[in-house]
Amino acid sequence: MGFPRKHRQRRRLRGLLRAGAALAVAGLAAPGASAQGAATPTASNAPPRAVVTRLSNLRSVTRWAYPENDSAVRSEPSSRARPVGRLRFLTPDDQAELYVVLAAAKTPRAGSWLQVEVPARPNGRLGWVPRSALGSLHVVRSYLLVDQGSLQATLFREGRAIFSAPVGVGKPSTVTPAGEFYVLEKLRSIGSPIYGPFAIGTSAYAPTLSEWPGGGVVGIHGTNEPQLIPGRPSHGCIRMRDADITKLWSLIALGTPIEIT
Amino acid sequence: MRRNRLLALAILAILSLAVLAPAGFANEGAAGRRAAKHAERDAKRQAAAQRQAERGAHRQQRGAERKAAAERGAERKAERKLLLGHKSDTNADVKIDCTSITIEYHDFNVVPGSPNFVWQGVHIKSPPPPLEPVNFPPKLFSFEGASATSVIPVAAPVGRSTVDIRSHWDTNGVKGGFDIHQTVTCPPHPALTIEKLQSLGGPFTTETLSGMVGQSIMYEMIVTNTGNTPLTFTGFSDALCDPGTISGEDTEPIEPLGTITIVCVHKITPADATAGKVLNVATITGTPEEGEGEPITERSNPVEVAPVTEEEHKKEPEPEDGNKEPPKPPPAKTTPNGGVAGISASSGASSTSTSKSGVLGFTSATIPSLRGPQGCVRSSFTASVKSANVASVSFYLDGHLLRRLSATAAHKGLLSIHINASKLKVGAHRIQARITMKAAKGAKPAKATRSMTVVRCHSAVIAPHFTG
Repeated sequence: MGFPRKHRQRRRLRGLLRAGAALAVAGLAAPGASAQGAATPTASNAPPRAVVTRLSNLRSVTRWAYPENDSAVRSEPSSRARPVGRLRFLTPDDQAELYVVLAAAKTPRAGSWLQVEVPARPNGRLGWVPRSALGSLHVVRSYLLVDQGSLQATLFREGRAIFSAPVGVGKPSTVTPAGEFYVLEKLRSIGSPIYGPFAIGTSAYAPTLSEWPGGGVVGIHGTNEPQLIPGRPSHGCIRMRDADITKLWSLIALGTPIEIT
Repeated sequence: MRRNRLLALAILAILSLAVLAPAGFANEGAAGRRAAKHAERDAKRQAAAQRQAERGAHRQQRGAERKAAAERGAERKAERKLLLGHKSDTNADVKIDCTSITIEYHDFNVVPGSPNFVWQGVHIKSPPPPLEPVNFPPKLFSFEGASATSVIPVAAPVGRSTVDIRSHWDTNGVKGGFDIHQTVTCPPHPALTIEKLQSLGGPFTTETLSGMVGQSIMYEMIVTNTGNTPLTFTGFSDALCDPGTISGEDTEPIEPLGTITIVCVHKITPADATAGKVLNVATITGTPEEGEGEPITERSNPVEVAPVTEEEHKKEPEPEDGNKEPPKPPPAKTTPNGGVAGISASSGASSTSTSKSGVLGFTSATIPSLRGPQGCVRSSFTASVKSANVASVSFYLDGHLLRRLSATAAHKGLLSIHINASKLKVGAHRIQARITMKAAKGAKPAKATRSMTVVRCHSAVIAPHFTG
């Protein structure tokens, strides 16, 4: 039983080609990849399967978009690729979900695709969606660096530090995850003094508190215990003094990339 | 003889008197006894009736007492209905008023390095329609040590409302919880916030931007009724709004937690460049209905644009890396309701054109796109189609026809529909515009469907779900 031998060989060959193309595409479009990574054919002799262009370097320019259609996020720029998630319209706090767009891929058969960061557990998941699944692209030119070593958060705009403040990060049992994330939502906090007057929702998820309401989203927010800042008092969130979060809230834009080291 | 007869008669009379007189006396005594008996019976009856009345009154009193006790019990039960076991009634004290709920947690176990987690939720139900229940989503409250105080600001509506507060915990060996339903009667409390954002073609932001002389700054003012009584927003003022560019003012009363978005434009002038910055705040007044309190005026946060020369502007580093010119993003939408309070637009990209391009004289490129706001919508917004060469447009929301507009309904070159987002459910909604173009004589009109997704969001003034 099973497929004829010829058919099996063809399927295997197609699979290998797809895997090779995916590796090439992923290598080119990964965030933080080298600056020379844009728009290179995927194989030396073979015709290019996908022309990939970087759209965000997550430092001086970052592009983001709201979802336009309910679409699967796939592991490769192809409708046949394995789904790794779905686009969402709302964040766990019922705000408009947005996606940082890292790269665009144009394939002869599958059309235009965009590579996005998926704000879900586990952190750092990337995937591809058809161009039509996202709306128009917005641009931000700033990024936030949160250094857990020096317990400082610094907002850069066009390479220049425009804001810096001490922070409180996760304690050893509930660490703040390290990696590349972005600003998902900006909230005025009410209902609990522990969040202070303003809160910024990020695409990061706390690695240990998966049962938390909303899935354990890491936020940047004020505090009712300013004496613990700088320090490591939190459950994964990044705490700031209320005056600092008020200033940062007014400076930071939606889609701003956040690097936590 | 005659003397004898007289004598006999006299004797008879005496005898009669002797016999009859005691009988007469005896008859009088029986009547008295009967009367006494009757009187005694009457007295007994009266006493019984009195006792019965007393018993009735006593019963009534006991009934009233029982009723009062039951009412007190029900009240107590309503005040504190314990859900979960153990020490639940001894670990938390709750105080409710119209503007805040204070929960004091105490006597928790202290385990170093292990915080105590408490789930809290508040639901305010207002029986008289059309007020909707207000939900503060359940959230996790955590604290170190044995005790903590959680203050939840609420805006209970004017009049009588039922406040339902729930909380439960199972942490560090302490288990418990409560579910309290309490009625509160609240006076009017007018309050508002105004947030000012700006854009130079990109997303709306509060951060300082750099712009050239001649460039237009679009300002967006998000005004939210944060009190518990409807407010009419009037007296909007912003010295930087160029004359005739202000739109979005609403003369209708805005319900509590409702928002309006006012937009205006300012073109950067040489005078701004000389001053070195374009900085201003907006003010607005919220007037409650008569007898619902005094009008209040609030100022927005300041926003700033730093004017730069053309040379400085050109020096901005090219963001893209690599040797290939990246595709330029589509120009930012500049619809009146765009930006933060808007809807994800990009209608052109996702539209499904059914036009028979070429044949009928209109290619899909010439059929106009559907434009609308981006991001979240919370109040009303406008979706529009450019009216040039358009015969008619039918607007649909989630498949339901909203309105069909003919070319004669065009205003300022647009066929627009105003949609009240506050009536929409939180989530994504699809708006479609079925466009029929004007046709040449004898030709069939070209048709196309443009669509876009709008996202109705929850208020951004909430208790976040973050890990803390």
